[in-house]
Amino acid sequence: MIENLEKISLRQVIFLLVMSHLAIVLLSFSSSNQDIWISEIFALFYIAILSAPLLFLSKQFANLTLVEYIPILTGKWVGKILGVLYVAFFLFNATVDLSLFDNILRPINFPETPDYAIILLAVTSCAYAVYKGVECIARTAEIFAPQILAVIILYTALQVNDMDLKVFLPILADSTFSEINSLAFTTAARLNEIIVLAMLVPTINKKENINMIFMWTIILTTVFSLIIIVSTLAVLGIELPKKTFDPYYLFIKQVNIYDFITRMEYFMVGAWNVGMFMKISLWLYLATMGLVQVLGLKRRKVLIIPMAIVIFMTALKTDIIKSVVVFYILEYYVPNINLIFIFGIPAIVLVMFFLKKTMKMKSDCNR
Amino acid sequence: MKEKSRLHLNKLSTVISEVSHSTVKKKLYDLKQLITESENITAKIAQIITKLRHVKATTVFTAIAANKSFLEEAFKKSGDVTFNEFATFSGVKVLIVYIDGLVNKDTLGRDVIDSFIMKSKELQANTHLDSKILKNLIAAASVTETKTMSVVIDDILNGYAAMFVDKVDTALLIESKGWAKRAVAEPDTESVIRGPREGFIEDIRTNTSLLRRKIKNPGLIFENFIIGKQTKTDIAIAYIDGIVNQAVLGEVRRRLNKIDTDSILETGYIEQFIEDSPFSSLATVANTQKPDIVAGKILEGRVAIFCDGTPHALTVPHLFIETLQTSEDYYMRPLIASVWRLLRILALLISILIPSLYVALQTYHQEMIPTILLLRMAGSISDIPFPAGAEMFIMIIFYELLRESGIRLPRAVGSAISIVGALIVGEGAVNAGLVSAPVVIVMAFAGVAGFVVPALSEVVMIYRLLFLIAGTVMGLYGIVCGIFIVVIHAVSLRSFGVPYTSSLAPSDQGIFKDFILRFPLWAMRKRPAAIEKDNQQRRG
Amino acid sequence: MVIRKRMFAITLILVLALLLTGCWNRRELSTIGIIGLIGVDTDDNGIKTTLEVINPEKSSTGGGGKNEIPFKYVQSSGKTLSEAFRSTTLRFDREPFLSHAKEFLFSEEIARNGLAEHLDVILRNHELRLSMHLVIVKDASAADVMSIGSGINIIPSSYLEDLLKQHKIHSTSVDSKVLDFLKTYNDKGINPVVTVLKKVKKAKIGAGKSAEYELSPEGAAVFSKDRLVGFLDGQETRGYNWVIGKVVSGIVVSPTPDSNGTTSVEILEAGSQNEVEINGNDIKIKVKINVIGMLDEETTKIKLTDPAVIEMLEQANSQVIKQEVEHTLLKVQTEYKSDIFGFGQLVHRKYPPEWKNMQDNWNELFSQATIEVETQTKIIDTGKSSLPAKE
Repeated sequence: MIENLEKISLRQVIFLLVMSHLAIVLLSFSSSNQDIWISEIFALFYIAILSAPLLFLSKQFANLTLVEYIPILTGKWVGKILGVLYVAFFLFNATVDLSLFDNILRPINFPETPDYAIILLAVTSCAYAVYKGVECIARTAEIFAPQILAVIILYTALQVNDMDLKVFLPILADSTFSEINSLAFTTAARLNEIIVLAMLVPTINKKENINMIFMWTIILTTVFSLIIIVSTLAVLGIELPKKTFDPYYLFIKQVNIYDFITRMEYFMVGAWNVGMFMKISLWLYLATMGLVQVLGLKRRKVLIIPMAIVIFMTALKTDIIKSVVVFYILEYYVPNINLIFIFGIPAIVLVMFFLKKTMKMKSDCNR
Repeated sequence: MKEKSRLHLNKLSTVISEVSHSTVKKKLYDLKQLITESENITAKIAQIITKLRHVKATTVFTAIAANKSFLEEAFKKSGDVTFNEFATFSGVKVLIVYIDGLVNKDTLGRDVIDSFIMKSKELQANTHLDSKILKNLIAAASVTETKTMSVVIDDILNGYAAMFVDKVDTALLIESKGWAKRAVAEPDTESVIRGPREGFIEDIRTNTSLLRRKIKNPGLIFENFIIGKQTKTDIAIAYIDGIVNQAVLGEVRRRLNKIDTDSILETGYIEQFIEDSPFSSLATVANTQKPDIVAGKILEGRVAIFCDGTPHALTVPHLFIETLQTSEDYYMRPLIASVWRLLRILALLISILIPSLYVALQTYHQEMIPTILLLRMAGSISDIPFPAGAEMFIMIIFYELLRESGIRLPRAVGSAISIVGALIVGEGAVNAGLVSAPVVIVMAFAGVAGFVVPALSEVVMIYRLLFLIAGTVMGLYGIVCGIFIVVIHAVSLRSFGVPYTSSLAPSDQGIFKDFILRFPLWAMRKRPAAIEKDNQQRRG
Repeated sequence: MVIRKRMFAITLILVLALLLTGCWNRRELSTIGIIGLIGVDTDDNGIKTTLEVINPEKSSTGGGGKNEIPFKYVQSSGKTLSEAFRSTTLRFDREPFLSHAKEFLFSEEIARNGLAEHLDVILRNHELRLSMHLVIVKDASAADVMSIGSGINIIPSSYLEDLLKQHKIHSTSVDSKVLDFLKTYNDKGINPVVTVLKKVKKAKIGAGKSAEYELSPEGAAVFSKDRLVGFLDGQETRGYNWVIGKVVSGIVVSPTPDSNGTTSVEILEAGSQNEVEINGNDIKIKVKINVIGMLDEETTKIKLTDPAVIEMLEQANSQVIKQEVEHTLLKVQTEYKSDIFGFGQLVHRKYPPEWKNMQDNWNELFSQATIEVETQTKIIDTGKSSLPAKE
């Protein structure tokens, strides 16, 4: 049973989802040539398609989370196995995000600090946030999100003089339709926030507007991703971002107004820091909640420490911590895994939903 | 079966047509009313039960001597309890008992004894005296009668004078309070440039009268409680019926009734018993000494709690945005008030974060500092024996010692101590090379900024230290983690059911109108949405 | 429940204690040496780096009283730049802190052999910033040039930085940063242009100690891909700046027509519009330069209040600019064969399919292209006075 006291409002959900996606975009985006902004816009279309099953199912079962209504539609044991798979998926995301966070933060400022110090601090903060509940995470998102979005716009505004938008010409000349297509598809597959939405549906205040929440989320995400990508490419050129892991950080380092407003990259790093913490706390929260619902436990909070330790150990002990491995995973494995969990399984479940409905209608008619 | 019902949940009304949204809503509303009423009744019953437990059910004796000996026994012959026996011309014996120092002896002499004796002359002889006739003989404003000794004892302790008449088994209690009170003056710790300078004093009745004078509304209701087994302190809660948030009111009553302790000496005691998060450094209950602040808060739907014996009144619920507001904000014009608000937010952030930011930047992130500034800093710290974190830590301790001693010391020595502090730290230590000048400047800046928001002084002190530790250990990453944890903690607090960070998150229009800026008064049409869910219109 | 709370508290304390035991990345200000300039030369071993370390002065005792120079030099060598940076700690008592370094000086030799391999450390190392100025040193070694600081500012790195920033005033030099170099190097349609620095002998004026040499950034260094191929002098650099539209201010001196005086026009605004046209194998480039100027000095007597006279001056001015630009274009085309102006980018934008075939030998094609130059000047102001001083 969901704790009835925790309700979050529409605005909070939107901010939460937007921030947790931007946290990754701020970090690394793959760019091939100057038409990347077209594939970003194109990805909207793919996102809509990929998320349709989950949205539809969430509207039908507005009071239950994903893990709760899968057993209803697919039978008890299959549902439990799928639920455990989803919990593993959340933990996997949390681990990947954690090592991504460590890999980017460490070379910037603390090259000699051992990984476990940074990850320990991150896991402790996120575990505390999960302990307080999703309401608190959502409220924190509401406090920080406007400032983070304002900081992104501010950095873009400060560099307007140095931007060379002609870099984006000639439009559509260098890439074929299939290239844009595949890039758009991969970009769309990275947006796995729809699962977060599906799991958080029961805790939202007014449930009729799930579609609106989703629409606002992807519009805001796309707009801000475009701002980030366009400004980075305009200042750094097309080729240079391909060589670094964190092009937006490089972009920020170039801010230099009259030699006075300079060296202010830590605003962005702090903002990204908070965004990643929220993302990781969110995954951890979903994992605990999912496990509670799969196993039918009473209290959620006992699970926090074991799960935190699991993520901590996985992030440290396996090879994930190496930067090359993490980015490889992010490029190649994550989109495919996302596809299975966002689209594959819900599509099957949706089909079963329709089957059951028609079967029942038939049995109703027969009576 | 269960699956079927779940799948068709939203189609119930198509099957059963009598069920409609409005009836369900009405029933829910009735249920809610019932629950609040029963809660009120429970609270009252609880109060009565506690009262009953302390009472010895003894009744007033008819013979004066018996009354006198009973009272002497009850008060254990305490020196200030005075028994005054006299007899009227017709031979009626009267005993007056009062506590010296608590009663106004002029009133007693003139309105009670004098008028009794004079008026009893007009009585015919051998009239059967009973309480009604006796009441007419006394010219005091408030006279009550009782037959229970415990009530007599309680009221004598509260400044009443008890009058026993021979052969009558009712005691008359005459109110004649007249103890020494402080004059109403401007409170020391909350001085303003513009605004009224009245402050509460230690007498609860004067305090409630000060509040009455601000709000001339029959809806302003004071409810009395008596809390404290030994001290039996008078507590009063104040609210405006029709504006107050009923849930908060019910909760306040419930929590006050649950207090079971020996003594309540100050509203601080009450605060610690009823507050939501005793271990958090962020206070969820506000206190103030000024009646206009209390009036402003009551008018927004809050509840005020007064305690006899202290000039500080509590107001609940207390939200974070209130800590940055002062009463002067509303008396000044909007533009300057907005500027002051922004300055206050800035001062709060500076005071908490600057010491740790300085240490973090200097130790871990030297590339964030502009080159010329870095060279100057490097020059001035070049031969200091301590690392930056330790230096700042020493300075914080020194500053807190200075501040605390400044509050406690007697006025005569005050200027000497401040000179010693300034000279020793400012000149001597820097010249001797023990601390560096930038550290002193940073600490002074943080200290001065910390006084701008006095309501949060404990928060500032504790968090400054914690952030300093975080900054020394992990640099800016530690500070960002610290900010995250602090925000999560602040956001999870509730003050009597209302979220603590109410206008920030969940956000409403109040964030611009009353927190970051201050809109003109004619633009603030609604009461704060967090507290006032039902009666939001301020005007019209 | 109490036991659980106690265990939680103990774990928390242990965790915190763990964090307090070491702050691994801590650098006290008294253990780092702040580097202002980095100079790179070739050595038998590989490369030799010279670092200028700034000595922070104590402000309380006042600066300058004791003749103590506020900077020191450290030299070290190694096979690559990062090895050389590390080995400075063998000889110096402070660890080099590179984030505040303002300029990166390379000697001519290294530039001729290819610069890109040395710039990888800037991208990869977390301390170095891409916004450092990149400078090639001509006819001297970097270490030589680094010790010269003969302006108002004593510290050579600040002196050099202020000197480089003044390129906007005279427009006969360029101010290139590492970021600009990397951007133009990667792009196949444009080649890098880098600031060049020369050591110039200074005349001794007045008594007292003064420096023997001063630095001059006039001119520019032309690269093809990442190898240095040649230099431009001051006027030619300005021609380059005209073409790419980066002239911000400057003085154009032209002979006054019909007399033997000179006119000096101060540039207020200048812009360029370039176009490329391809007909089969013929590449035609059109450069159009618009200038708005103000009359700054006029040495002979002409009637400046007549609009026709002003028009004449405008024409003379345009002519001078056209000659500058054409001279530069010719030199770069024939001698250096390197497209530093970005015409390749224009071809890419206008003819994308043809560009695919042309991009690999664009420099050759560029050197055979025909270029037309058109200039137009507008003099909007004659300064404070109207008629010339000389009668």
